[in-house]
Amino acid sequence: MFGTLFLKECKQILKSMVYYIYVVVFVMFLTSQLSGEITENMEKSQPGLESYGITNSRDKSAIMEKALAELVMETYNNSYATYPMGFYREVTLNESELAKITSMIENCTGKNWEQVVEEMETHYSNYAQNSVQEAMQAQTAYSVIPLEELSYDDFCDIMEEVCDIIGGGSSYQKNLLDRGVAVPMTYEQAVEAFESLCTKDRVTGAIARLFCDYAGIVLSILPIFLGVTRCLRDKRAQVSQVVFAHKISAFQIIGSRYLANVCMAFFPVIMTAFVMQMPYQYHAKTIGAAPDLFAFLKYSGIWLLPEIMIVLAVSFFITELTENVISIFVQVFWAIASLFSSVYLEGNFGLHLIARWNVLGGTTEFWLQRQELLFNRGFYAVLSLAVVALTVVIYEKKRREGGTVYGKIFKGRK
Amino acid sequence: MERYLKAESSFILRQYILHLLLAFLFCSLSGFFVSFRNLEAFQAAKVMEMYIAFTGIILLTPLFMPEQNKEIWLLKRSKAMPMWQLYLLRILTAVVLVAAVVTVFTQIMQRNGSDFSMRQLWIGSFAEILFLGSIGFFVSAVTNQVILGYMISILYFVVNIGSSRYLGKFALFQMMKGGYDFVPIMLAASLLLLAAGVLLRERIR
Amino acid sequence: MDTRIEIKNLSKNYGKKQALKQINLEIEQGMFGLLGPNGAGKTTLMKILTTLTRKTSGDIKLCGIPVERCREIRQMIGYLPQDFSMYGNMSVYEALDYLAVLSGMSKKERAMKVPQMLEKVNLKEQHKTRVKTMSGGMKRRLGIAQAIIHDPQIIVVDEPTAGLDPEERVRFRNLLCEIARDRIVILSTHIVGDIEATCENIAVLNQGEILFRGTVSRLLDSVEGKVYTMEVSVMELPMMREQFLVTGILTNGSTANIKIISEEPPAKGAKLGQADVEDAYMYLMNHASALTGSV
Repeated sequence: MFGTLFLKECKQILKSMVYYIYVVVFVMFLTSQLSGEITENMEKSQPGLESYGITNSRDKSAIMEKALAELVMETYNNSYATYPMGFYREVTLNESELAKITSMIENCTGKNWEQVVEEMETHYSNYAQNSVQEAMQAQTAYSVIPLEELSYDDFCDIMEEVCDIIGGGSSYQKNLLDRGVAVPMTYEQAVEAFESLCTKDRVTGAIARLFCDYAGIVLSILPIFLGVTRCLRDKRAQVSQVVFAHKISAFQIIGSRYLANVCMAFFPVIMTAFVMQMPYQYHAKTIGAAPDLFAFLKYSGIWLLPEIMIVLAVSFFITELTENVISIFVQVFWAIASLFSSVYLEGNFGLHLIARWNVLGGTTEFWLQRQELLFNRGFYAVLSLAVVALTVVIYEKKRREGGTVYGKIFKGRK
Repeated sequence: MERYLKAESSFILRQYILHLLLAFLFCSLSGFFVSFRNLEAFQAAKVMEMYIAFTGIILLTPLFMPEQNKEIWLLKRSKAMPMWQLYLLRILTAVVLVAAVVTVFTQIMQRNGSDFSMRQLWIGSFAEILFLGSIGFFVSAVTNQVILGYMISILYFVVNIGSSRYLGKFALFQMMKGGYDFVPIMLAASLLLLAAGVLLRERIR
Repeated sequence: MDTRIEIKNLSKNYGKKQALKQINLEIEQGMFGLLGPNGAGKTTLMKILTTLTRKTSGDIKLCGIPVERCREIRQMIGYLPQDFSMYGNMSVYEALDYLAVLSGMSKKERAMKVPQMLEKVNLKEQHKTRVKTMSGGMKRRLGIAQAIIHDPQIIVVDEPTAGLDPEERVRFRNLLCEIARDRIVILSTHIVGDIEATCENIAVLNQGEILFRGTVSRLLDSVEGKVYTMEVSVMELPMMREQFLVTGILTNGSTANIKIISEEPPAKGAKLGQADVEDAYMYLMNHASALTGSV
């Protein structure tokens, strides 16, 4: 019976306009983001190049140099990125606060502020910053050398004071500094990265990650509309009473609707992923790697399916509870906040709804953080099941009490 | 005149109030997420374009909600007061509210020592927020589904985060990059969408 | 096996408002009519019987099973709500099939029963019609089909004839009578004619209380010898209305034939007339309001 209902739900979804918009927007977004020729970034590095991209380093002196560089840049622009409560918030300081920060930079570098700024400007003038890539290169290569006698712990103490001035959630907190910083890659590291791209990721894995990164952004929002539409359809067609009076359990009703929506939402995702990774199956062979045929399936199953599950579960829950569209606002807010709150676009998964990995490769670093990603996605998968269970309870309650739980405000209304 | 006031106040009190509260809540929470102090022009634009812009969607999309039920719609159409007048009244209310929101936030930023051209940012934000809202308005008008209105306008916002380069003058977030020449086009487009929404809604079916 | 519905001391409160006050009822097989003005508590009673609302106090057993055991109850009832509707984009067949699944019917059963039911309610020709384009009468017929498709022992039908044209109404009543041969059909209505034509046993509900329960003929007995007809001039009408319970007026130029219910002969020219259920109902309601002192 569950199966029959499930199929009937799928059929219903296929008749809804919202679903087609879902599919079209998803496919368009992904193709516009991932269409560029990215195979050139997957060639074996040649020695003697100016730059080999960036890598993450947890070396203490590297951390100090890059953190100082960032602080100089942010102070120079008077624009500090902070993430209080996980949301992005830009902070600007007044004159006296700025003066305190510059004096701290002076203490760390042993140079005066004007000198630091001058060095910075000279550095950047050496780069033609016409494209994003060139600008990034300039940024990666820029570092500010601290005094030799400054220990890492002392440095962290000073950064603690910087945090106090900027406010909560700035990127100079010790736990964030400990995560390492982006530094330019050497030739040897580039070769190593290429090796692990070929052996660990088997090329298709890296592509799948990039796909998941972009898909994760839209999938934090798109399924909301499927969920809200499904739950409001009963109200709009005035069928709740009829459905309520039937024998079938609330678990089967909500469960089949939820599962149908999850499957129908996930289906275009794997199809798009499958199509988009096909050229790379071929490319992998040309650079001598053995592609993983099912990488796209593994990655989207672990990375995107839990996201679809939680987004749908929450929209089911809120909509069954309130019987209005409020869920759209709550969840879009959640999604946008999560999007802007990603300090790093590579990893640092935490419990973010949207897991970012906006780089092709980064294989070694990814495998270091893999555990964190699995925990994050596992958490959301379990949470979504719990939320669905709660929705079943709410639904059964509505069925017995008559009317919405929230509608009790309008008690006695027919 | 009295009957217009009556119709509009009934709409606001019975239908619109929740959306107004939502917009208010959204605006009052802004302090937690964005800063208003000592901003430069592009930073101030960012606040308006990436955060405050949502109020347009919240305020303009649900204007057809009372008549989403076909029976009520038909009943209202049978009355002496033409529907387009009702719609126009609602649009007017919503537009005034958008203007008020824009004024409040530009003022807050200016008083907190931010440095930008008030006139430019005001009209730019107004145009952009109105445009985003009128997309939702138009879609919910022609489909008679408020959810679709929200969906399309919100997705328009999201798509702009990634692929605004394909949208030309209709791209959002241009003030952040220092561009202001989209204003007349967006204002015109908003007017067109609002007018077309009202017209098509009454023609269809 | 117990085939009755027993209701003992049933009360239902919505906040401070008492929708049902100490209802006692026993319903046997066959058609049972629940009559009463709008807002009398009919729908509340039906929702309690169909497990869609919780009772505040009292005991209800349907075929021996207490109403608290929702799943069993839902299995043995068929419910047609007042404003029955289905998803607009489904066809008649799909809609019925969908609801049959919700009743737990297997694929085989459905393949057999769905066409059979459509035939029974005369929708076979239109099985591909979309629900959103259906007329009120067609929707009702689809509604009754979904209420009986799983062969329930009890069928609860709320205001089934509202919005139907006279022909459809007659057909619908006949359909209900046919169904009621071997089970309980509870029919609520404020249209006296429905009851008169179909039900043997009835209960009259007003302001949450049962005013009358018994057979239709017993209800008729209550006005036996109290119905008079007489001719008055149109000018006298308002006065007559004030003095007596007038249940029918037929004007003919400057005179009018009126039907009056009265304990005593109202005037010299009045003749004893034939009582119908509507007269009895009016008499009952009038009595009730006289007792409670309201309009």
